[in-house]
Amino acid sequence: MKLPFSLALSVALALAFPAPGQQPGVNPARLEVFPPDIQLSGVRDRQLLVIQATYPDGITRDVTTEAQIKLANPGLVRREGPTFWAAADGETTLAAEFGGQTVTIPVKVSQAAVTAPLSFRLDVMPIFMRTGCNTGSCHGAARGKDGFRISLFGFDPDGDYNRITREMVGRRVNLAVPGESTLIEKSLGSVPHTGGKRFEAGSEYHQVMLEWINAGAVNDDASKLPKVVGVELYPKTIVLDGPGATQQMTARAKYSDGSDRDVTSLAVFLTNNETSAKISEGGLITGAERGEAFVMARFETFTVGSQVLVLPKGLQFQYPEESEVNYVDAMVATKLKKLRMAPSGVCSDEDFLRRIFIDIVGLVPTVDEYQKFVSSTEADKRSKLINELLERKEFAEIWVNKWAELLQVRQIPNQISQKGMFLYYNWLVDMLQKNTPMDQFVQELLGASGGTFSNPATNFYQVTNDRLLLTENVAQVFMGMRIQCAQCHNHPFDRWTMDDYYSFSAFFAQIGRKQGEDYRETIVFNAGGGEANHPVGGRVMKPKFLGGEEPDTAGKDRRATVAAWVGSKENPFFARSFVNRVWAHFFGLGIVEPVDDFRVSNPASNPELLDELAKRFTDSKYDLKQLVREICNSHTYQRSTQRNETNQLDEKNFAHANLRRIKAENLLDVISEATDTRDKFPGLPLGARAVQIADGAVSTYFLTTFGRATRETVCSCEVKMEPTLSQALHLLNGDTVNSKINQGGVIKKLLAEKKFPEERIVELYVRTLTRMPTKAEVDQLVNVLNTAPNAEQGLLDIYWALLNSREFLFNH
Amino acid sequence: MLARVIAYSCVMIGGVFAPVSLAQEAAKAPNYKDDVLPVFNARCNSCHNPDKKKGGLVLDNYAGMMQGGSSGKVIEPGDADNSRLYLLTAHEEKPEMPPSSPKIADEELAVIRKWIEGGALEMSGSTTMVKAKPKVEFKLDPSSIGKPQGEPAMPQSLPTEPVVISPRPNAITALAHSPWAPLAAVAGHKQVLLYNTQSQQLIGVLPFAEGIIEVLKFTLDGDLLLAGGGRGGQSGRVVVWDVKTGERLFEVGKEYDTVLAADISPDRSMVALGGPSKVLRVYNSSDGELVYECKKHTEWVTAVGFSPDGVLLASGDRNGGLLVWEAPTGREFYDLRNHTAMISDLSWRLDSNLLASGSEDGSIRLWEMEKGTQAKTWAAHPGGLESVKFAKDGRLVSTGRDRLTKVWDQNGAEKKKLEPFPDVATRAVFNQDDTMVVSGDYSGEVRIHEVNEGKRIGALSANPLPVATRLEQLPATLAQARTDAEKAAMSIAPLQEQVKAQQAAVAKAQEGVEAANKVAAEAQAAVTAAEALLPQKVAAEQEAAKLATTAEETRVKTVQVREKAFQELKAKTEAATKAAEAFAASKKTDADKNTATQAATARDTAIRELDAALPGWNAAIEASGTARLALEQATSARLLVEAKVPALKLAMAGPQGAVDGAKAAITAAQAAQQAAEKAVATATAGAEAAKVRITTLEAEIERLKAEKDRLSAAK
Repeated sequence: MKLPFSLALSVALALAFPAPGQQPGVNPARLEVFPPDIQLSGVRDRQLLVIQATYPDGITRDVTTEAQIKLANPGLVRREGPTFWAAADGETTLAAEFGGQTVTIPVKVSQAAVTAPLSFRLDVMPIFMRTGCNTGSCHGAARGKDGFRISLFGFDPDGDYNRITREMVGRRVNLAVPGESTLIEKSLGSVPHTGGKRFEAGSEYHQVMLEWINAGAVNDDASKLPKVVGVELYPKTIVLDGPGATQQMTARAKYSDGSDRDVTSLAVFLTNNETSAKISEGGLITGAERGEAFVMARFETFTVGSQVLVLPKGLQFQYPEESEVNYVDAMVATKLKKLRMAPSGVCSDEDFLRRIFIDIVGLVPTVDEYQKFVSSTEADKRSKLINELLERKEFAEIWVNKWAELLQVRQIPNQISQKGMFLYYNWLVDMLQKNTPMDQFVQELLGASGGTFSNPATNFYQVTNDRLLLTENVAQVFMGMRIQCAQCHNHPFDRWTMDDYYSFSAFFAQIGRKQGEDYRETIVFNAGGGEANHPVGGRVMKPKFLGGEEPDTAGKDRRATVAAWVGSKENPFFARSFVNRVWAHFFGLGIVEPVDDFRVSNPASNPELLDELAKRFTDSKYDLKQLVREICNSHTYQRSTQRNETNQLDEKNFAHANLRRIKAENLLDVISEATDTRDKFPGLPLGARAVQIADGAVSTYFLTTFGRATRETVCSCEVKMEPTLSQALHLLNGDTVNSKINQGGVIKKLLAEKKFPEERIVELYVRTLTRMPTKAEVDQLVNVLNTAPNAEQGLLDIYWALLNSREFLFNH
Repeated sequence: MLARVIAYSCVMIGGVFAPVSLAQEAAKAPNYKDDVLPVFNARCNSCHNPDKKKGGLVLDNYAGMMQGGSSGKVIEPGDADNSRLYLLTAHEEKPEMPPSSPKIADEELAVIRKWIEGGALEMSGSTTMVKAKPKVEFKLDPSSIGKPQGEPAMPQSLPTEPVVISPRPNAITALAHSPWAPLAAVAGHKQVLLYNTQSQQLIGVLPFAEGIIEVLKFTLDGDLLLAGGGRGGQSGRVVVWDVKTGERLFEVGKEYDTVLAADISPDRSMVALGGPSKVLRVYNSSDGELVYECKKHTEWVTAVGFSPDGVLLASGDRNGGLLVWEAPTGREFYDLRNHTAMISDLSWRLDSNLLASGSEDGSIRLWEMEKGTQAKTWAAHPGGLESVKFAKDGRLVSTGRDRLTKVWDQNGAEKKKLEPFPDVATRAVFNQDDTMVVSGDYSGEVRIHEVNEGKRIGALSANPLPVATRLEQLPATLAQARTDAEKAAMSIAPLQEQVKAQQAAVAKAQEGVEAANKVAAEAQAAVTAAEALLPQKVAAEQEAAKLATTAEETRVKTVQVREKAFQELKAKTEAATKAAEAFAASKKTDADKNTATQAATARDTAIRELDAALPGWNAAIEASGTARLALEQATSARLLVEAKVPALKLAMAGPQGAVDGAKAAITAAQAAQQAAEKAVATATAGAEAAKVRITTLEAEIERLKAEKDRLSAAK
C-alpha cells in the first residue's frame, strides 16, 4: 500500500469522491473482479481474471496478484496464476479478498473433458489478426504481399481458407508434415519472411495452427458456427498513479450460442495515446506521461475500449469551488476532477460579448451594443443577451450556412440548376427560421419525393446519383459516421461490417429519377424496385438500419422508412451527432472530434456529457435554440482563454476557452461591419452578407483564402480553419482590408466628430476588438497620433493595425 | 529454326481438323446481311450502334464491324476461335457479351460461328477472301520421337523404404509417367515415389531432402527423371536422377524460394526453372552454370516446358503471362496473351507445333507455333484448371478445381470424364501407351484409370508405409490374394457348367425350331394344296356354266320347234278335217277325195313325225335341267375350296409363331451361352491375374525381406 497522497489532496478530492482522507495503508473504496462471472467449457477454454481496487481518491490498482483467491470447490478448476482452466463439471463460486473487501463471482464449468475440434474461423483466423498478418500493410493489402493475400481483417473467411489451403496447392499448408507448411515456417521466421517472426515456436498460436493442419486443415460449416455477438473489455476505467503503474486487461467475446471465450490472447490491443498509456500485445497497460488515453481491444469485427487516465505520481490538487450553472458545468467538472484539472475562470464581459456575438450571429457588437451591455448592471445580462441574439435572423443564417455546407447546396451542371439550388437554399432558410424541430427537418429531407422545384428538399438526392456515396453521406451528415471503409472490407476500427454497409445502402436502392416538365427539374420518386447486392457473393441485402433493426419495407417507400428512423429516438447516433456539431461550433472542438467521425476507436472526450446533451435535445423535441441556450449559459462556454497551471495541457476537456479563428464568411462579414462597408456577391443584392451566399460554387478570393467550404463533399474538413500565411498576407497587403478602410469612411466620420484623440482610439478599439484599450495602449497610440503626418493618417494606421491584429481575427 | 519445326510435318497420320471446302459451302454459307445482322440487331446493336458505340465497336454495318472496336479487330474471317466477337459472345472469354445477361441462343451462336468460319461474308454474292487453314494438323509419328534404344528404363532394385513417413499424404503437387515404361513418379513429401503402374507396386523411393516437390518430369526417352521444388521462402533446387540406378546425376538452381516449374531440354544439355523469384533461369546441366535468365515475367513463374524438338521454351506466370523463348539463346519468340489468371500448366504436343496452356481462368488454350496464334480455346474446368498434358496421340488430359479429370481431343471435345475426386484434382498424366491416366488430388489420393471405359483400376499411395510394416501386412494381403485366387478358380467350374447348360439349351431350342418348322411346313402345304385346287374348281364351274347355258339355249329352241310342230300339226289336222268334211259333203269327187286323202296323209305324216320327234325334244328339254344341276354342284365345290384357304392360312400363324419363338429362344440361349463363356473367360483371366498377383506378392515379400535385411544390416 504505497499511496503517497497528502491529507490536503484528500480534502481536495473529497469534492469528487465523498470518502474520508486517505493515508498509506488505507483500504480501497471498492474491489472489482473481472469478468463478473467465469464460464469454462471444454479443455481449451480458460479465463484470465483481473482484480482491480479503486481507492477513495479515484486511483485504481491492479491487485490481481496480491488478492487472495478462494474457490468454494477448488476441484472444478485448474489455476495457473490468474488464469483458470476447466477441471471438472459443476458450479461453484470464486471469492477474491483484498484490503478487507471481498467480492464473489459465480463459476460454471461444463464439458471439462471435451476437446472440441479447432475451427478455422473461430481459432485460426483470430491469430492472423492478432499477429498482424491481415493488416492493410501486409497480406491484407488489396493485392496481398509477396504473393500471398488474405482479406483485410478477415472480412472474407471462405476466400482466406481457399487461398491458404488451395491457391498454391501443397505450399502454404502441408498436410503430410504440418510443421513444414510455409504458413507456419514463415510465421515462426524459420524461413525468411518480410514480415519477420510473428510468433514463437511452441507458442499457443503455433500449436493451434499445427493442430488445425494436423487435423486436415478442414473448413468450417459456417452455418453451424456460433457468431461473435459482442466483446467485453475489462476494467472499464483505469486511473493510473504515475509512470510505471500497470494494469492488465482482460477481453472476453460472447457468442451467439450463449458461450463466451477469453480472447485476451487473441484480441489486438491498441491505444490512442501512446505517450500516456502504452499497451502491450498481451493487454498490459503501463502508465507514462500525464494524460488521457483510450485503450481498445479488437476482436473479429468488434472494437471495444476502456478509458485510462494517467496522473503524475503524488499529485497535489484542489478543485476550485465554483457554482454550476447547469448540467453542462457539472458534467465537465466531473471529468476535470478525474483528471485533476482546475478550469479557468469565467471571462470578462467584453470577452463574453464579442464571443457570443460572433458565435450566435456571426458579427461583432456595434459600439452602441457594447456600451449598452457593459454598462448594464443586471445580474442576468448575459443570459438576456443570449436570448436576444437567438431571436435575431442572423442566428438562423449561421445555421443555414452550416447545413448548406453539409447538404452541399451548390449548382451542379446537369444535376442542380441555379433555380433548384436557390429553392433548396430557401427551403433550408425557411426550416431554420421557423426553428423546425430537427427530427422533422431530417424526415422531410430524407423522405422527400417530387419535383426538385415543387419540393426543393428532393435536391438532396440530386447531389449524387451514386447510391453508395449517398449512403455514406447520410451516415456522415446525420449520424456523424464515416462508414466508407466498410464498402470494401469490414471497418478496421469500428463496428461496421460490409453487411451493415450494404444493408443500409439498400434503403437508397429504389430511388427513381425522371425529368420534369421544366427540363431543369428532376422528379425524385420511389421506383419500388432495385436491390443492393453484397460484393462478396452477390447476395441481395435486406434494408437494415445502421446498428439497428431490419424493418419491414415490403411495399413501402424505403426512403420514408429510413427517414423516419434517422431522425428518431431509435437512432442513437442522430441526436448525439447533432449536439456534437453544435457543441463544436461553440467550442471550436467537438466532444467527438472530428465531428463527423464517431467511431469506437475515436471515443468522446466526455461521453456522459454528450449523452446528456443528446438526451435533453431529444426531450426538448429537437429544439436548437434551447440547446444553444444551455450551452452558452454555462460557465464552460464562458471560460477565459487564459489557462492555468493544471489545465495547461488540456486540449479536449473544455477546462478553458479556445482561441478560434473566425470562419471565412463570418470574418468577411465582421470586417465589413467593422469598416461600415457593404459587399456585392453574385446573385445577391448589394449589402448582402457572406454568410447568406446560397451557392457553394460561388466564392471570392477572400473567402477561398480563408477556407470557405466548396461543398464538394459532406466532410467537416471542407471548412478550413487553419491560419495560413496567405491569409495573413492577404489581410496585410490584399485589397480587402485596405479598400474597405477607404470605402467605409469610418475614420472620416471619426474626424468629423469633435473628440479627443483618446476617445477616437477607444472607439476604434470597441468597434474592432469589442474592448477598451489599456492605459499603456492608449499612451502608445496617442504618441503614434502625435508623430503622424496628420491626424487622419495616424488614425488610419491604427485602424489598419487593429484590423490586422490577431485579436481581431480570432474569437477568444 | 522454324524450318526445323516445320520439318517434322513429314509424316501425316491424319488431319485433325478437316479443312472445309469453302467453294462447296459457299452456296449455303451464312452472310452478314441476311443471317448475322438480324442476330446483331436483336442482341447487340442497342449498344454497338453508331450513336453509343460501346467499346468503340459498331455492328450495324459491315465496314464498321470489320474495322473492329477500341481493342482491335473483332472478326478473324475463317477463324471463329480467334475472333473476339465470337469468343465474347460464346462466353469463352471475358467480358461476356451481352453484358450481365445469359448467353444468346445456341442457334444464333452457331450462325455467327458458321458465318465467321465461312469467311465472314457480307452478302449472299460475296466471295471469301480467306482460305481455310488447317490449324491443328498433327503430322507426326509419335513412335519416332524419343524412343530409347533397347528396353525402356525401369528402376532396378532401388530401395523402397520411405524417407518420410506421415499419417496423411500431402496434396499431390506433381506427377509424371515414363513415356516408354509402366513407371509413374509421384511427389511425396521430400521424396519421389516410383510405382510400377502395371503391378501398382512401389519400386523405388528417391529422397528429395530439398523439400516439397512442385514438378516432376521424365526425359523424352524415359531414362532420366527431373524433380524441382524446395522449401517455401527459403530455397529451391532441381535434381535429375538416373531412373535405372536411382543415382543423382546432377543438381542445378539456387533459388531463394521454392522451384515451382522446371524442365530439362530434350538433349539434356539445359535445365530451365522458375518460381516466386519471377525469373526464368536456364542452367547448363553439365556444369550447373547459368546459361541465361529472362526477367520478363511480372509474377511467379508457374509453368515451364521445352518443346520436344528442343527449339523453343515456353513459360507461364501467375498473372496469366505466357511467353515462348528460343531455347538455346533465351530470345523472346512469342508473347501469347489471352489467359486472365495464373498459368497452371503447359504441355507441348510431341511434334512441337502446338502448345497447350491451362490456367486458373478455367480454360485450355492451344497455340500454334508457326505464327504464334491461338488455335483453339475451350472452358475446361470452371473455377480453375490445375494441370494439362498432351498424350502422344494428341489427346489431352486435364484436372481442375471442379475435382474432375477430363480427357479431350484437340478440338476441345470432351472424350471422357473420370469419376470426381474428393477434393481439387491437381495433376493427371497419361501412361506410356495412352491407355491409362494416373491422376491425383489435393487430399493426396492417386488413382489409375483405364481411359476408354473410364474405369478405376487402381490407386497409388503418396505416403507409403515403411518396408517392415508393408512386410508385416503383405502375408495377409497374400493370403487374401490366395483366397481370391481360389475363389476365382472355384468359380470357373460352375461357370463352365453354366456354359454346358446353355449349350444344351441352345440345342434344345434348335430342336424346338425344327419341330415348329415341320408343323409350319405342313400347314403351308395344306394351304398350297388348297390354293392349287381352287383354279380347277373354278374351271369346272365355268365349264358347267358353259354347258348349262348351251343346254338352256337348246331347250328354248326345242320348245319353239315343238310348238311350231304342234301348230303345223294342228293346222294339218284342221286341214285334213276340213278336207274330209269337204269330201263328205261334196260330190265325193276323186279330186276331193284325193285332197282329203292327201290332207289326211299329211296329217298322219305330221303325227308320225311329231311322235318321232317328240322324245328327242323332251330329252333336250330335260338335258337343260341336268346341266343346271351340274353347274350348281360345281359352284358349291368351288366355294368349298375357296372357304378352306383362309382357314388354312390362319391356321398357319400358329406354327409360324412357334417358329419365331423357338428362334428367339435360340438367340437367347446363344447369348446366355456367350455370357457364360465370357464369364468363364473373365473368371479364368481373374484367376490368372490372381495367380500373377500371388506371384508378384510373393516376389514383393521376398524383395521386401531382402530390403529389410539390408536396412537392419545398415543400421
